Amino acid sequence: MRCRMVGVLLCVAACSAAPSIATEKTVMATEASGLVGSWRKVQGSAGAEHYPAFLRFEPNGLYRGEPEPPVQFTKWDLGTWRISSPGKVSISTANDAVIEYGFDGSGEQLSFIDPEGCRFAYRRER
Amino acid sequence: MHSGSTRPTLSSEGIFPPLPDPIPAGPEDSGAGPEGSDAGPEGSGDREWVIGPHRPWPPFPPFPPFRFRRVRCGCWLISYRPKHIGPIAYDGTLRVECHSAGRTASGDLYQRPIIYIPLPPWKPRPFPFPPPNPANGIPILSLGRYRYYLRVTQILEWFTFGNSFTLGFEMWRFAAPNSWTNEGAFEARMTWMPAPSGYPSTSDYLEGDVKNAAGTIVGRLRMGWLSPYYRKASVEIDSVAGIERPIDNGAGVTWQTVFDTVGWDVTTTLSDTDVAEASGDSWSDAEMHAAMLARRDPISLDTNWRYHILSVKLIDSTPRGIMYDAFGSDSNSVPREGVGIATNWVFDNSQDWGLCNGQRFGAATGPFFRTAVHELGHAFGLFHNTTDNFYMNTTDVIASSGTAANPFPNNIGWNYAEDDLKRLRHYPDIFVRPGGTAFGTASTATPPISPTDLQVEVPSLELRVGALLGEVPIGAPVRVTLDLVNVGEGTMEVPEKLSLKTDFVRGWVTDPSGTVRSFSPVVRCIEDQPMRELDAGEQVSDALTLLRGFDGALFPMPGLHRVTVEVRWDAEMLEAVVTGETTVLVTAATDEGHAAAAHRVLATPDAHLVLVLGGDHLEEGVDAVKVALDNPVLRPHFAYTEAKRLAQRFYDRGPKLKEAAALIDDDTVMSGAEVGKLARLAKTSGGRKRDSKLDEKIKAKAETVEMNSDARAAVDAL
Repeated sequence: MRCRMVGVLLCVAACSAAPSIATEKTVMATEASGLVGSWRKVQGSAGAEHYPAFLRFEPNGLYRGEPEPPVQFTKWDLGTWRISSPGKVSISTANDAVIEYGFDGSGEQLSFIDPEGCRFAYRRER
Repeated sequence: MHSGSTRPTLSSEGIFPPLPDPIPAGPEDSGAGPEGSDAGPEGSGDREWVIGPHRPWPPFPPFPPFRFRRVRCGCWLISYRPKHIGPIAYDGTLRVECHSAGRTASGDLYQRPIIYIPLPPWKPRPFPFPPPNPANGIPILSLGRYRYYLRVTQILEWFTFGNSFTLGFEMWRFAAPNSWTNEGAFEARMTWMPAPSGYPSTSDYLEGDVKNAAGTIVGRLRMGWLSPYYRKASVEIDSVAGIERPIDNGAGVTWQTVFDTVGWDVTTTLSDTDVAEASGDSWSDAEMHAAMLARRDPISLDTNWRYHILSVKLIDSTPRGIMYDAFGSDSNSVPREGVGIATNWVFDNSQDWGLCNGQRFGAATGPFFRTAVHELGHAFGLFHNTTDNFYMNTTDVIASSGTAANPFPNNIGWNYAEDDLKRLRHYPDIFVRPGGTAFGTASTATPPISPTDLQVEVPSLELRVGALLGEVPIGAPVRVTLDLVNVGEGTMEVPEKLSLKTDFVRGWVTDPSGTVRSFSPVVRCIEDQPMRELDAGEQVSDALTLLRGFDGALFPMPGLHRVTVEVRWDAEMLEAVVTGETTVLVTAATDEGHAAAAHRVLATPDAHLVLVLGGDHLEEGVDAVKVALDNPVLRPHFAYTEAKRLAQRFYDRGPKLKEAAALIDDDTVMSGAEVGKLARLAKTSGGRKRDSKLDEKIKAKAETVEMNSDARAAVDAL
């Protein structure tokens, strides 16, 4: 009886969690589709100069960044991106380290915060 | 956006010496270096013409029989001696690349070290070290002595019947961490002459006077051919036990072939295979960096361009490989020494990996080796490059461009892109060599001050810097003692005093976070800076009390601080420099009262001036010192400062020697120099109204500290 009760309780717990996981995955998928496209940097705090002026996220999980002027170094030049959790995107960087950034995208605006607290924002480029 | 883009490094100042353009050639030249028919060790013979795919016919036999001369492809040892600058000289290499578009050439110069040699009975004289020995091949010179990049704008394009040619170049002066100044365009009429001993080729040696844009001779340049390779380096590969190491691509591409294509003479060493696993399942950047430092063969980056590859099972921060020695992961602030590569990552279902789907990375020999070459490219200073599918493109991008007819990894391009090859051959040394400029951007950490060309170290003098107290509470000034000792055998001329009131002394403090703050004289005495003769075994002693510098408080946080002091003075046409350092532990605030008092002192710039100058007029500073005196933790450290101020008369206020005496007790922190100063004040300010209590306390203090002869004499005079 106790085992059956435990089994029932576990099932109830799992069923309660399933919608949360599904919700999270839905959120992440929505966020991913929202990132896809081209972006132009519009502002940034000190340290943001090392992030590209132009950014393009491809649907296949690859991205490209272009600095301005083109000879400038940029941390995000070429590599992969993926939504690692809601509001977090993991991006491979210029030395191939994969780093997680906080982001907030809504339609035409996209803002990031890096692990050092530097904030910068992009506007969708048509 | 455009494809196939790459970006050369741009300095923090926005100016970067442009790489040299190909110098247009006439009919194809001979001897294309490592890629051409006299490539590698076999090609080091002294041939003047080689029949190759572009040169099917030999030239028409000359009549009468003139000698053809050409500038041989490869690496030349160069030495440059400017005129009228004493023993200053530079050594380095000139790289001459021959290709279908003509010739491209570039060079680097490092300042030759200078040594002071005592020549009794005369004063010590500066002499330059001997130049690099050409018999040792391509020289590797000290990082800290890197000075110039030479962008060659004119060189002999094909051949000449004559005995000379004009070499045109720009000299770009480097200043750490990464700024460049174009010092102008120069020309040298280089003439062939017999080579001195040691050069591999007696007929590939030239000398010429260097002229500036105005046509004035400014120096002499020598160049002798050394090698068909452009650069020399070594690669060491260590690994965890039982896993793969990147050796080749499994299809004929090896480290040797990779670097022969680049034109570098690289020795690859398969070294340790027993590197201990890191904590956890995978390696952090810091763990890889530590393992590199622990397991790399003992070498100096000043004499060896050593790059390190560490092969591990898994890496925290990346799936396949990383050049971890960049940005914050460069724990020893020596950039681009090492890379890591992971064997146990699996080509997962995140994308289509062609023929590698589901394969463990270490077992995929080609992609595994490619990644190692890619990461080394980052260690060489290269960025990602989407040109074709060559080394500096990424595995993900290459795989995504695979097709059914040409799937990944068959579509990997086994070469560096042309623009990357040019960078590897003609980037300034300091961009490419390990330990040079930081990856991608100027270093954000302030570097140690590099010696300027006119600075000479003086090995027979030692500057011993000591902290009066190894631990001080936050908010207290730090007192350091200085002893300039003649450890040589001859007499040296040195500054008579080492206080911050002379122009001789300056320094900097490095706080626990690595931030550097400098200090230098607050007050400069306008009389001549006196010098003295220092015999062997003698020393000049003094002390500094440090609180504030140009950048604010020198010790603004708890933790271990490093104090570096530099003493410099004019020595004939040069500048002698001696440096010493010590450490001080600043302890945290013990309670709110201490914290508040420390805050007041550290945030009041005039507190420092009161410490140095005294005087009643600096009211904010005087008030801040009084707040410190009211705090039992800081009182012992500021008691002397207030006593000194009170012991001096100031306008209408006479000296207050009784009050000064009341401040001094057994706990008062004073250096020997400060005891001497207070003794002089007590004698001169008091006149006939000396305070015996103050005299007693000064004498008691003199028993507890080391003092130089001047300070001792002042106390004895009381």
